[in-house]
Amino acid sequence: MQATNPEISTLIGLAEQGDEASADKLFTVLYRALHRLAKRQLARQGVVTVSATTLIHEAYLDMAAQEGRSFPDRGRFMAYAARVMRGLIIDHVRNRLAIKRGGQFELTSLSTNVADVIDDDQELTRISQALDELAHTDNSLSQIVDLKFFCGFSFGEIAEMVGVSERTVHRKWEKARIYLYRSLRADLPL
Amino acid sequence: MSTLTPDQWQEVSPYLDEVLEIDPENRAAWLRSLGERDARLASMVQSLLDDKLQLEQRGFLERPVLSAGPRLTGQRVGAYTLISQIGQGGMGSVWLARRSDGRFERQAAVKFVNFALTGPATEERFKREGTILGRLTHPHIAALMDAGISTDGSPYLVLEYVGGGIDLTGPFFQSLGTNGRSCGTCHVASDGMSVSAGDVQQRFLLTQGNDPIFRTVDGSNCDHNIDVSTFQGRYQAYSLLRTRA
Repeated sequence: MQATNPEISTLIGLAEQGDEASADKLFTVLYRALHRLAKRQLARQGVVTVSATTLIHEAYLDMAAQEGRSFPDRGRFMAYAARVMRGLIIDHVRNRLAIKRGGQFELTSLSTNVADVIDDDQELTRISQALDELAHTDNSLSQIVDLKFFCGFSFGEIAEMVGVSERTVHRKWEKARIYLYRSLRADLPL
Repeated sequence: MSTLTPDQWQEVSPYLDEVLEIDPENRAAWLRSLGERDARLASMVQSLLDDKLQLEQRGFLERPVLSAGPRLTGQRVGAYTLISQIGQGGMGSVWLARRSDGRFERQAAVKFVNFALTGPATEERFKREGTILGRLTHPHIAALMDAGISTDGSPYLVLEYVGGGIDLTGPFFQSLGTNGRSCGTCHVASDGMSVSAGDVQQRFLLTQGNDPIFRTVDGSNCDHNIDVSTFQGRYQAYSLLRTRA
């Protein structure tokens, strides 16, 4: 963390009080941190894939170690990190489509399972916009989509992170899917 | 029906919660009873449930954007439940896992070979890898905790998860799981060439696994590509290790 950056714990605190500027700043700081971490992992491992879940876990450990006791618990951190990860992933898909492997890193399985995943940054962008709308009404629903759909966490993991039962996570996921389907149906490819 | 307004969503949300908790076969009755009290609300819930059916048929958001190959997350392998994929190479994948029986909190790494490659030779190789790893003990080398064949027939190794330390998908571990035409210095060093596991261990320690001797080109083969099934090959592999040491 650069000295010029306010601590992430401070930013999360302010963002939770509804300070928009801090929320924006938090997004930027986390985005850079995750991106840097992804690159560092690649440099260290010499492999071409990084998994989003590993990235987020490591980011948490990294930052918690740097900022010490005042750092928020994993659940509070994830709420923000998962949203940032969504942005990183969409940018990544976009870049990958724009420049085929032009020095960018590969996130897990985008390189190996392209046929099976949504390979269209516009569709992802629409999902993302709908999620931001959903977040205004029910933030916990959009958070679960970030963790599940974008980052690839399982229901069990999400339940642990968010501190609710797996059943609740499952129900919220179903609700969020219904909401998104309703908002996006007109634009979905058949 | 068009997109719900935030107000409509707020209104229908608790009913949706309720109906989703009910077994599908009892939902019709629940809806009828709601309809008697509030027909408009009931039809709103009904149309959302119709959407649910549709989106399920279309597999909407079914697979994560960054899908991890075969959907193994949450599956049990021996005494372990797979949490998330932490690495993938040409020869297989490595998963973060935790014990399912709750006996230890400790996390583990489960390593699979590529299903496509699975065959008697692969199993043999895995057995060998298990043997070699079982002998190696060092803080930087993950200890072998378990090994076996999963219910779908894939051989696997369970390694201690060394978070933040050495990467289990790194060159060293890739080199330990290559195919039959592999380099003796990398893969069967402890096996009949008077090169002990200790030698390999030390070598790895000195080079942090960055020595090409431990590196693989594509995750499925080491740089040397020596056929150690012949005497010539084993000799070549052994010389290589000695000269590089």
